[in-house]
Amino acid sequence: MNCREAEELFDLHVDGGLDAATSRILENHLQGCSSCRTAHDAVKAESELLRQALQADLSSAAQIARIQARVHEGIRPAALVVSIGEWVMAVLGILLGLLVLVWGSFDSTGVREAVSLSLNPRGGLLVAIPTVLVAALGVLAVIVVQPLLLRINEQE
Amino acid sequence: MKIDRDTVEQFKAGDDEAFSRIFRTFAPGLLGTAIRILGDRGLGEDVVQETFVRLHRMRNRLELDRPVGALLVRITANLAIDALRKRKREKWEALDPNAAPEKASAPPIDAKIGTVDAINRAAGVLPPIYRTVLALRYGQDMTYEEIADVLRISVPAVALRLKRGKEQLRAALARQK
Repeated sequence: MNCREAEELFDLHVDGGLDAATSRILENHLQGCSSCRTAHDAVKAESELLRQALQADLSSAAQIARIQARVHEGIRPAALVVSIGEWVMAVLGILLGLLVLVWGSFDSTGVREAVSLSLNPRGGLLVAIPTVLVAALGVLAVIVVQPLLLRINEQE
Repeated sequence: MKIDRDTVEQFKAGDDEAFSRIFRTFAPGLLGTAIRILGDRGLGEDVVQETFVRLHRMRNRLELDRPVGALLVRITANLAIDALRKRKREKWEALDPNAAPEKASAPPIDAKIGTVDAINRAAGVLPPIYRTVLALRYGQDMTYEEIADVLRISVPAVALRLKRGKEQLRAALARQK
């Protein structure tokens, strides 16, 4: 290896990007060549300067606090939307579905009959039992589905 | 900058204080890297914010044996590079391997001209492909292999970009002298 070839490798050697075999050849050359050693030391010192400069803190305490607040905002709304928004939507959906179901089943008999049948103790019971059962199933489904949605959301 | 295994475990378990400790430990360094890659403080803040939001989302999948700092650097670097690619006013383009290097090669930067401010100023106006590898290599002490992995380029391409980046930085600082 001559001085010109050695010089080409200084950057790689200093930055740890040279393979072991070539490093050994270069180090042998450096041992016997004082001018290359000086030049190599200059590149090494330069790397240290670059490290110091490019690791220097560019942030201020206020800036970091601002980002932290924004991170918390970025995390919190997602949880709230799922826990409150989805719950409300799910319950409203269930109630609407039940209303359509109950109303539809009495539609053939007319509105007045349907209302009077629901108010009748026996007819009311016939409507109330399936209503409560379906509502309970709906709420259970939300309890199971909600954590699943959260997990999927987290994994995205 | 290191975070112990217990803190990561607490964070995985949903401890907000552990998440804050991780944030305080790594946010300043990540912000520096994002600003240096993007050349823009506001965008740098956005990238760091998104980095920690993503970390929070993936907390259940964190592996305790893998350093969280390296993961954060990877997320930040990827987000910053994506942001750069989306920006129209600065082109993020592949390095032409036949492109001529700086003509008159300047000597290595010494302490006289290489002050912290001068280096950061000069590095900030380099083309994005160069300032990115410089920020990752010297700002985050990433290896060539790690940089190649994040940038999805070969290790020799990383070496070439670093070499050209340093040549341009030396030339810029020599001109300021």
